[in-house]
Amino acid sequence: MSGLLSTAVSGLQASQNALRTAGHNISNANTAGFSRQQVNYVTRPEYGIGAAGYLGNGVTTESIERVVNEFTITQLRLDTSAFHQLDKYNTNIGQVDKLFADEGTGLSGSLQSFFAALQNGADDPSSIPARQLVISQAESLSARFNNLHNRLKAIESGVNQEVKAVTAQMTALAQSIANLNQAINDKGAGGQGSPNDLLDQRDEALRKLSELTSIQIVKQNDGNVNVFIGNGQPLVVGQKVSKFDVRDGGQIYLTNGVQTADVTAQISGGQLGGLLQFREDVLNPAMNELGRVAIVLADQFNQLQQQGLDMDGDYGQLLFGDINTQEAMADRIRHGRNALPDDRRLSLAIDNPALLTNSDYSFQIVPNTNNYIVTRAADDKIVSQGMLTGAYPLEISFDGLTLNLEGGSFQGGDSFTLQPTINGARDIKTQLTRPEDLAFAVAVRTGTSSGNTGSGVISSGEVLGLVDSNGNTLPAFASAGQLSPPVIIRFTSATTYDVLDNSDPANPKHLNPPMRDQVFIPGVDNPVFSTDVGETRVMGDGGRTGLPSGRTPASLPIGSLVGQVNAYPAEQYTFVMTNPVTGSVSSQVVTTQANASAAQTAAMLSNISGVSANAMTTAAISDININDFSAPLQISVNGVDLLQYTAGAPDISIPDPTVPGNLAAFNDYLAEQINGNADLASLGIRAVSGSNPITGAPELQMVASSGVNLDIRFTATTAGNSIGVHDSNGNPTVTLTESTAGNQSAITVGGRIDITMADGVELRTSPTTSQLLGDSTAADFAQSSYLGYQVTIKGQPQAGDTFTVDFNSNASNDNRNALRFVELETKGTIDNGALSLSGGYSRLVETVGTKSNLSSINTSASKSLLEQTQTLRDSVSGVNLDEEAADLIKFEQMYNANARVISVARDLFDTLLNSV
Amino acid sequence: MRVSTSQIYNIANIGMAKAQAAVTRTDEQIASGKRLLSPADDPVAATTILQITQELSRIEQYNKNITIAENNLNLEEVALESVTNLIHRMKEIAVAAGNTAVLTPDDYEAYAAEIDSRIEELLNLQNTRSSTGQYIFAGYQGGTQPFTSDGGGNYSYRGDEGQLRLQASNTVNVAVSDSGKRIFMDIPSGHNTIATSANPANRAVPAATISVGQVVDQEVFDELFPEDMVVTFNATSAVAPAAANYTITERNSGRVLVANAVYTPGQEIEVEGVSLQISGAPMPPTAASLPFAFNAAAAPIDFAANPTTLTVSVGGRTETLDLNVAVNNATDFANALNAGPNAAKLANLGLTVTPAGIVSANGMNVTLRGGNADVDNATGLTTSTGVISTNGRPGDSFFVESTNKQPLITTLSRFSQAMKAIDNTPEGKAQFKEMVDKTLVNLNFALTNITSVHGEVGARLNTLESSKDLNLDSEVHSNKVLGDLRDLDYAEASTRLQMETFILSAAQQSFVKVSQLTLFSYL
Repeated sequence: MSGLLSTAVSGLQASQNALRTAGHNISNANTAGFSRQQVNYVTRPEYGIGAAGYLGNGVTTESIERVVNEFTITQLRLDTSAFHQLDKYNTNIGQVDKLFADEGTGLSGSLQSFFAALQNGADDPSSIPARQLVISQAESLSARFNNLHNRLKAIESGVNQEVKAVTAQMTALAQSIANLNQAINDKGAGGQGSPNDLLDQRDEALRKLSELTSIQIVKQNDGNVNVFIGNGQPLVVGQKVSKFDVRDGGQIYLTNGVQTADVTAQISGGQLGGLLQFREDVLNPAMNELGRVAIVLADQFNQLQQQGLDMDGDYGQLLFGDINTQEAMADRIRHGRNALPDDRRLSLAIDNPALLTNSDYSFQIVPNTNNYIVTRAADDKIVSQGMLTGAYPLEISFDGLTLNLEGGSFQGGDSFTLQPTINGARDIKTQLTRPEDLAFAVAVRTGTSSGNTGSGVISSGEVLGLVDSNGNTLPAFASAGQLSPPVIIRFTSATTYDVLDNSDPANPKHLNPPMRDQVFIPGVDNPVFSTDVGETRVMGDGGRTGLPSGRTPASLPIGSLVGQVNAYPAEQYTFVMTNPVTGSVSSQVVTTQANASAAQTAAMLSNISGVSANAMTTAAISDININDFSAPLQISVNGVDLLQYTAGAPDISIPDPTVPGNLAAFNDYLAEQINGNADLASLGIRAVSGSNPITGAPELQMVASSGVNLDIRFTATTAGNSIGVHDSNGNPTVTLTESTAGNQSAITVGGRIDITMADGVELRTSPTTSQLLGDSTAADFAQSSYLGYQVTIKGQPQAGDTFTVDFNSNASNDNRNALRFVELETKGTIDNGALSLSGGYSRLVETVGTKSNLSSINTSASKSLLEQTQTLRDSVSGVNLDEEAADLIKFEQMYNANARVISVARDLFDTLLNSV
Repeated sequence: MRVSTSQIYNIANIGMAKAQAAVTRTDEQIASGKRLLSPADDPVAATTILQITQELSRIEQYNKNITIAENNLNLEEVALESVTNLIHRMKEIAVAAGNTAVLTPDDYEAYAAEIDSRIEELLNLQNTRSSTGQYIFAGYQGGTQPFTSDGGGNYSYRGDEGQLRLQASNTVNVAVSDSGKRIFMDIPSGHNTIATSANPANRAVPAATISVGQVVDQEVFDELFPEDMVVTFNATSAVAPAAANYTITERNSGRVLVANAVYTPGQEIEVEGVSLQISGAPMPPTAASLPFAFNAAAAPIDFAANPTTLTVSVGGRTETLDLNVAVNNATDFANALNAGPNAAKLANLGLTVTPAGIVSANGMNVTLRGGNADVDNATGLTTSTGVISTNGRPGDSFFVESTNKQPLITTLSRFSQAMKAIDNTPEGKAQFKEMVDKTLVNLNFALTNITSVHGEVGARLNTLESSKDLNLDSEVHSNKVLGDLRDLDYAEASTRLQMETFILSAAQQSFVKVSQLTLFSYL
């Protein structure tokens, strides 16, 4: 009977436990992280009754366990991290996205207004109100850049604040996990089953932590869980907790009491991951891209502005602030945690904004070496590397930038972050205030002489740049209000022209270095000047060119084909070429032939790449003394007899040179003979009958534009007959006199060579003082032939036609430079010409928009995933009230039944007592 | 599947939240009328919208430009029409004036007076200003009066050949002005003629002037053509007795046409078939000089024992002087330089040497170089390294350019001068008749030139008109694309809203139903 009672009591206890558990489940139906619990029963040890076997002994509560699926819990944590990362990212990117696209806050509206104002200015360049509008719009444009930058900065500082708050929360959660570890450990130590509610609390704390960042969990045998973040940085180990710390503008450090490490780059997932991803992926590139647009805009406008003329006729001042101020250049560098002393001075200059990328760079000195590496952050590509020599300043150039190490204790292990464009939008400002100072005019203008007989047309002219390859002002633009010197382009024939200094229009003279005998191709656009900023020209001006003093005439048999020589020496010319991009140096040696004509030598030199040589020969016949105008009198040029003979006597059409005052007419005849001869024309030889510019004495001036020798011979037998020959180049006159019958007196005049060398080409001669070119060590040996402006001539000019290029003074109605400003709206200026200014901004909007679009899709996908996993977890562990209600009924009935057993036992007992 | 009670609520929550978000979004779209609420909705469309908005703002600006361009060109047209009328009247006069048999010098006086007043009118037309005060025919120099009278019937153009251009569309760039040079100056002439001008570098104050000039003997002048002439004033010492005198040379070859002619202000100068006058007092050249300072301490300098040379250059010509006699003082040295062949060489260079120094009377600067230490002592100059005089200045000069073009105003001015100077003899009348013919030809050329410019202006107006049409087309097109991309389809949106609200209310109703189902209600 006691057995029956005890069995019934065990049933009562079991059903009470079950009812309490159901009550616990019902009361916790809404507790976060709570897992429903269920009671497990086992039969009590049975009771042996001999051979009959065993008698059951009731029930006992074996365990109360929570219904969980470890896999689901882990999955839930992963999905929580993934969702919260995307969600945080998505919320933040939405702000930036709307900021850029909104007409009220974005850049495109300001850009449009600015360019519209420029068009207005170009429409009426003399209008001050129109110019004022340009300045106002420029101011509002730079203010818009500044505002956008400040908004991004504000968002960044908000992000950093949030990073701080999140990491504080993570530290708190880690601490509570450690505490729970301790409590679970304590309870588990008694071997009394699992503390279900504590386990639930710990799981919930872990889930909350995974909302903030991705975590990895390792369960220990003693019931502790260890929590790691990133690449295995321990956050919780047993009861030990590491702490977060945010410093240096948003960098995250993890301290475990002994060591501190920067874990910023390793954190992923969760809200923190989302914040960091937003900062790295969206905010910095956006600031860089915006900065790049600002820098290119400022630079392009400043360059054009400086090349143009303002209303006062002065070269324009900067419209926007200089992009390379000392302050801005130093501001582009962020120093890493480098070894003390902190004395390194660096600056980053932007040389060519067109080549700018929107990436940051890292400049590192490899530990324990002097080797440096510059890496582009966007694609981790090494853009420059080399060795530090220890001598400063040192310049390192890459991607349109120059990093200047000014000095300090640079050493192995140093690292610097270079941010060329991040502050561009912050720093842009409109500097110009006077509307008259806008440079709408171009500094040069061209003119066509009314006397031109040909149909040549000159372009209106453009300025290529105001500075030479060293950054110094070019001589042409050195004096305010004038072109130094103004030039005149004079056609010497239909296909050749000289460019002369027109300072004195009555007497134009050669430029220095000269541009003589240039080739013109009729019918196409002929650019007149060099566009190569580094181009130099060596002017043929040595001791032996032309007809140097000391040359004497030779007496030769008439018509002797044995040519005379120009007595030019053989010389060795070494052209040293430095590749402007790579810096590699090569050289080419040419040895000229002795007595070669200038034409031959020039042809040989022109074969060298980067070198073009132009040869030309000039000579004049002067001091004609002829007293016997009869056979065999003859003057020949390059084998062509000039005096025509009829019946053995000089033709009667020839003006008699023995008559005083006939010499000019005689020269006219000679010039006609030369100009009418096809053989001479094919050698480019032409002549004019002119005068000595000083004495006015008549002389016959000859030019061979091919640079062939001019072989001049004089045949006369009567004493006292002579002609003078000089080279029109400053050397003394040589006199050809009468000779013995059958012979003629002859002299050969050599030409001179002008050598034009492209950027990076240098000429050295051996001997150093070249007989043909002069002293090659002299500072003015090779002179820059870059004038900084350009005009083109087309059509078919005639000999004698002239065009002028002069300073564009009083040009209040010139809008050519303004039109170039306007062009910048659509011209490719960013990314090596791939993008226009507005294109650069559109791309920024598109990039951010695409990222935002993608992130919103990903967020909703990961939200669904999270919801599914949550549903899965709830379906396993969640409390179903109906289920619990059923349990309540079930266990109530069980309780009732057991109570009934007790009552049976009592009846049995009463029956037994009554029977006694 | 087992369902927990919280799931029932969660599922309802999620469903209702989604439905609510969709309703709110559609509501926002309807309220703003925009399909895209942020670039994230459709990044590619958002960028296209930016570009199209820019394109539209450009088109708006182009249309403004076109209006301004049309105004400019219309103003030019009006001026050109007035000039055309003026030329027609001048042609009438020229035809009438050809009636030499009847007309008297008095009649010609009257005609000349009318022409003179018409010249004034023409000058005003050529100096037309725009509403903003800019001279429309001055090229870039809108603030400078382009046509001015130089006196002597000579008018000069002070503008340039610049053209103002405006952007009429993305690809079309239209010139909206023409230079006065092109319209009124560079008019083809029926015969080769001249254009006279003073060198802007002239120094005389007040400036000497050159008359407009006439070609009096066409045949002789045609021989010279296309060579230009330069009248240069020489040192007064070039003629004896010393007087102002000039030399006329060909500009390019330097050939001397008239040497050292004595100058009388206002006198007719005839050369190569051209007649002209120069008035005023042109400045002669300022001689270039290098003063000697004989170093007495170094005397005697024995060039006989140590012969040497000295190289002298003037204007690109060089001579080498020989020094081979002993000199004791400055006079000896000057004599040495003037002795023997040296004298001819100095004369070749136009130099004179005195004990005081070396002088280049024509104002060309002189260079001494190649001397040794002895020469340096004798001259007191550093001839060893080279020394150049800097005080030389050229004399005033005047240009007589050969040209086959004649400005309209010059045609009238020459015609008027010929009328005033008419010689009432048969020969004079015949010569005048020739002048009348030339004038008529030139007036016709002027008319042709102006008509062609007028035609060009018309063509530009057409270009502007078609650019306007083109801009309108692309504006319509851009607006359509913009509408498609940006604007909301209200029909679609309201249908969608209806559906979304239906879903939301269904979710709400089903939640209410489901949440009421609990076993506890029956306990």
